[in-house]
Amino acid sequence: MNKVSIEIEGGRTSYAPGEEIRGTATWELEKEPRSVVVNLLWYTRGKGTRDAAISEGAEVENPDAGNSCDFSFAAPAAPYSFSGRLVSLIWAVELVTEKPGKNTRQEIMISPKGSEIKIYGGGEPNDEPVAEELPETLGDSPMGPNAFDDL
Amino acid sequence: MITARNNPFRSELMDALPFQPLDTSWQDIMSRLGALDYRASIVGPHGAGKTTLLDQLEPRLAGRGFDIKHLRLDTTTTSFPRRFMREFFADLKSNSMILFDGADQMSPRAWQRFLPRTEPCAGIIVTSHVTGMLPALVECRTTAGLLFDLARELQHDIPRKLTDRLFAKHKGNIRFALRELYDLASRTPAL
Repeated sequence: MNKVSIEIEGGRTSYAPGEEIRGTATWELEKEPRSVVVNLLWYTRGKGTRDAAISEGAEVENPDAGNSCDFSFAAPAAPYSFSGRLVSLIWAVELVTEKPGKNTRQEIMISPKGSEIKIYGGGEPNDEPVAEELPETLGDSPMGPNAFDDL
Repeated sequence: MITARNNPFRSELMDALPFQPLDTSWQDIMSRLGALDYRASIVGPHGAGKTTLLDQLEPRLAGRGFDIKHLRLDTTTTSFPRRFMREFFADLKSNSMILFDGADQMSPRAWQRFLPRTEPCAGIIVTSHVTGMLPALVECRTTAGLLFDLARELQHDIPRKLTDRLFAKHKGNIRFALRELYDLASRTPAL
């Protein structure tokens, strides 16, 4: 059974630019992997084509089948974590092993206030603010049973 | 507001929807592909699931030992640079399998030049809106029931009357209908 995990120090989920993101990556694989890499990356979610970029990466030299390593990245100055109707930009630390291939991610937020920037727009009513803080957590099931009834 | 990261119709979830064969099965598709010597086309109108089927053929073909090579054209990129094609053909091996999305964007003349150069490799599967490029493996089509089933995979309580209306509005284009559902969901207040 192949297992991989990422643990962020202190269970932190938000960082200001320049702060240090520290944690431990752990893998337990059935054989020695060809490579083990820990990346700090961002990616988008939303309506259109997805985008992603690795900001910083650290490769483990001569990785054993089972081991762990500490990582440390400086939270970049940009882009900030944000969410709007059309697109969200999400930062994460990921652990990727190759042959056997396995990966896992821990999402984090990077912004001056340590929480996601909320973007409004798209020609909707002007009663919404231009930007405000998002709730700390967002549910996986955002719509209730009658969400479409009035459409 | 439902943010993009939580929208149940966001592209990452839409793209992960399984291809649902109508009037056929995966076993039949793979058998027919072999009978066509792995030179075949997936034909159908916009938003009917051609690219989804091509994507989902990939792991099945890789599992049979083929070396997968991707090509893609669309309405904004209708040809390949010469140097790119030279390198592409130089990389082909006897077990290479070309998966070519949007092959009908090529001009007939370019296609006639392209096709013979694929003969040394194991096969080529294209998606196209028109028939005649290669023997048809699957002719993709959609139904209102298919849209309902797919939408329900993403939002379990979606009303059938809504998906039926969107199916008619978008003339059977499932992708466009799901994108409109994204827009509708983004305007629905989170509960």
